Amino acid sequence: MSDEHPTTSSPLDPEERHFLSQIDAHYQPAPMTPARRAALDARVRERVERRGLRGRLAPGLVAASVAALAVWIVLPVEEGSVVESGLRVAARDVGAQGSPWESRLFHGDLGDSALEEAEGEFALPADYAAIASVFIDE
Amino acid sequence: MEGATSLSPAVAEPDLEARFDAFVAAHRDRAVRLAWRLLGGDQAAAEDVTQDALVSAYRGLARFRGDSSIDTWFYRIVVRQAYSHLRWRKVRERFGRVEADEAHDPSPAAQGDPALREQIARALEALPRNQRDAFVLVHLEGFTVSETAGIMGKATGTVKSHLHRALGKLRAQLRDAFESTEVSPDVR
Repeated sequence: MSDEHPTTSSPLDPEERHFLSQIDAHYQPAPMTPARRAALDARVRERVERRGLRGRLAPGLVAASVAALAVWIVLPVEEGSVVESGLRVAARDVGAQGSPWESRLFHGDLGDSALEEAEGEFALPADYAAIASVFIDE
Repeated sequence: MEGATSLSPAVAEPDLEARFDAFVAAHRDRAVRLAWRLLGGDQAAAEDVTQDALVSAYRGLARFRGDSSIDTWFYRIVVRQAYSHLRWRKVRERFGRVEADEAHDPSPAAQGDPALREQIARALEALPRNQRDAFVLVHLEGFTVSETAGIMGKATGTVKSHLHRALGKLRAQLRDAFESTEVSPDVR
């Protein structure tokens, strides 16, 4: 517990110290037992290792997914084929029911305003974005 | 800062795993206690928050170079995670989504008088977030005003102001509760 007075940098007066010692005495958890400590450490270790494995696999999986998507989108469609290109399917499905930015995206208008609008629609509120930037984003 | 030496170049192992183990050993208990106090005495939540912060610290260890800045960074994560947890808990409570196993925490009993603990928790919860954080960090966890300013990302003058207001409010709110209670020396 700090003995420094928060506003004057002088030592706390006896009443304040007594008050703080009471709070400290009545408001603290039981000390962690060795078993509980070990359990917590094991959970942390498991998460770190899982994250490490995911981190090693992620680049390969992302590259393979992107390659597969690119092939599906750009491969020429043969006349009479039952398989359509991804872009065409997406454009047809969005149709008139899609939101304005979806229509623009799939019907060729990829101006900056459309992208900004799309980003704005999904953007987190500022406080959640701040939390996400610390705990989710690298 | 307590435990800051764990990352000084003279003590830290070159290996990341060993450094992480040393970091966990140095900061785990304090982080749980800090989170417990910020979360109104919820042991399970405090351990969850500490877990999250330690996993983040593992990533951070590779980037930090043995000074004490990672300590400040780590406790900042603990404080923010605790706040985030509180917000989600309030949302779940509001919509009646608190699970039965959350309501019954089988964790070991905390120290001190349970009734007083409850009153202190309520009084702390009623404080604005910055006042509560500053009070717990400085007066209960023993961080200096300067370390607390680093953890909270505020100027030292601002932290002092929060401390002054928090102490005044808590004394006013808890005066009656403590008047009838004598703290025996073996409570701690």
